[in-house]
Amino acid sequence: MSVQNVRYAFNSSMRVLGKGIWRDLVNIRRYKLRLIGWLMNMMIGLGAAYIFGVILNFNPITTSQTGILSTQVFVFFAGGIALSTFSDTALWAPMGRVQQDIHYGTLEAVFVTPTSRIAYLLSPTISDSILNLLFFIPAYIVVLGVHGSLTDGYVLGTTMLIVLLTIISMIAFGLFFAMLAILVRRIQPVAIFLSNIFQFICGAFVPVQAFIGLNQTGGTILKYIAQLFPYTYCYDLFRYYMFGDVYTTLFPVWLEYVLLVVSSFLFVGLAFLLLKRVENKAKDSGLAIL
Amino acid sequence: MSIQHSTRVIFKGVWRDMKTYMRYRAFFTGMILEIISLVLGFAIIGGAYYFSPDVLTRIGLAEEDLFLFMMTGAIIQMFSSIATWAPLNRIEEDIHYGTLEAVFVTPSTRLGYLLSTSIARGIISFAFFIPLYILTLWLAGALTNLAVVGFTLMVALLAMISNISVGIYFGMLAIMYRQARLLISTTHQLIQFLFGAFLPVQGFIVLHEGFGTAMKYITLAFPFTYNFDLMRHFMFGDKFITLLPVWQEFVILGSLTILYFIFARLLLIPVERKAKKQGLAIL
Repeated sequence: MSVQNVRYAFNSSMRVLGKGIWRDLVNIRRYKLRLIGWLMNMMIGLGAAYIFGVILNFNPITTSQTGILSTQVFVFFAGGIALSTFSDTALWAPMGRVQQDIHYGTLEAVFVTPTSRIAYLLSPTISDSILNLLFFIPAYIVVLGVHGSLTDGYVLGTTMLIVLLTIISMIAFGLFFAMLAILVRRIQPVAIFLSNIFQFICGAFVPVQAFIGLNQTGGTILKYIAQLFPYTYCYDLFRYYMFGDVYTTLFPVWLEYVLLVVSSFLFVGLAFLLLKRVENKAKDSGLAIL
Repeated sequence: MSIQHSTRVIFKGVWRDMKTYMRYRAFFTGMILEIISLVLGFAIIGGAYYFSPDVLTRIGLAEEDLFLFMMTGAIIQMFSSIATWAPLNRIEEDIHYGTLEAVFVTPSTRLGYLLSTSIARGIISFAFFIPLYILTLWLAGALTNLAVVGFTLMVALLAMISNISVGIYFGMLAIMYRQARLLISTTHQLIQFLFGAFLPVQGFIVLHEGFGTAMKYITLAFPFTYNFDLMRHFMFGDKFITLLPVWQEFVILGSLTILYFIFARLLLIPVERKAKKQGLAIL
């Protein structure tokens, strides 16, 4: 492939991506109720975090494993809820797009034109994460305010960096999941399952370090499973910068950054492999599989 | 004639739904996966958290009872979709297929039609409730205690009936307002956090005296609260402090179930009037 072709392919992909994001953002303006639903979800989530924070305390195992105080439940929980909305976007946005296109019969059009499929599937995840950011920011400010670090530039900068990294890793996982959504028609139950798993196993509500409180062997196995997903490192690093040096991370901080990047790349690689399978299957069995 | 006819509509509706559920295996896979992730999630929470000491004095439980507390909520929560998602999905599906108009122009009973979808969902929910229920009984150490088994099954049955009753009410709302999904989704979340599914209503007073008292009275207006509270009373035994005396909770639960059914019946009148005035396009 010549340099000119690569440039042409890149420009075309960017155009598909830009148009896709634009389409989604225009669409959401027309369906204002969805935005209200989003806002209510976040408010109920924060309310629930507050109630959890007062009614529950971390037990001695959790405090000894993580170094945080037994009463710091709200900051821990609300941070997890805010950040978990991004992992949910990765699951629901591409799946929603694929299902909508199957419903309207437009998915075939995407597959018979020379447009970039990856760019096309990337667009709903990006547009949803832009919108998500709008709702994340107020929640993020509340969490920082309660924790008393609203004016701490270091905490602000580092936690925002983690939010950015979460969005990037989420996009990587979203691509992988979109491919899976095309390959397996009834993916919804899996999406619900993964959504729960991301929240419980990756550390949104409970520190992964404290899983041994459940059972020594079972907790250790769950800990290893959690380490496969990039979100685990996102949550852990977010907490590290939020609580400071008292917080004991799963791995040394530099290693968590490395693992976060590696696992994100891994999911992009898997997405490309799945795309090949999807296209081969479409060629073999016809577009009816879509 | 009318009772016979209504029964036939209900029976056929339930039969149709059961057939549909059987055809969509993904639905069952989803339910199983959801239950697995839920139990795992609660176990993880139970291993990392304790109830705060202030809350413990108000509910009478021990610190390590958190996992069992959440599980007792989860088994009753299995029935909440009867009230929320089942009627909504039916109405939305019928609007989508264009079959809702047919229901409204034939002399078939609309109430029976909406009841059937909730009953079908109730049967399915009950099937998934059983394994979770056995696990909870085992955790409570009451698997062989016939009195506990009998009383908790009775509460589960009451929970099913009260949810069916609230379900008809939500079904009516779904016909009245096209965008009812948001309202119902919010209600579903509120049930989880405010009506005592996973956190004790008794503990809200620890948050704030006024808020706690207000929340207690608000939640007392819904049958869900009593379902959770009574289930815990029988699972934990006398040490659990209920919101109201147990006999009163039974009486209010029964009254509320009947009240919601009457509400739904009354709501049907403006729905039909609106349909007559503006044409069936409102559906």
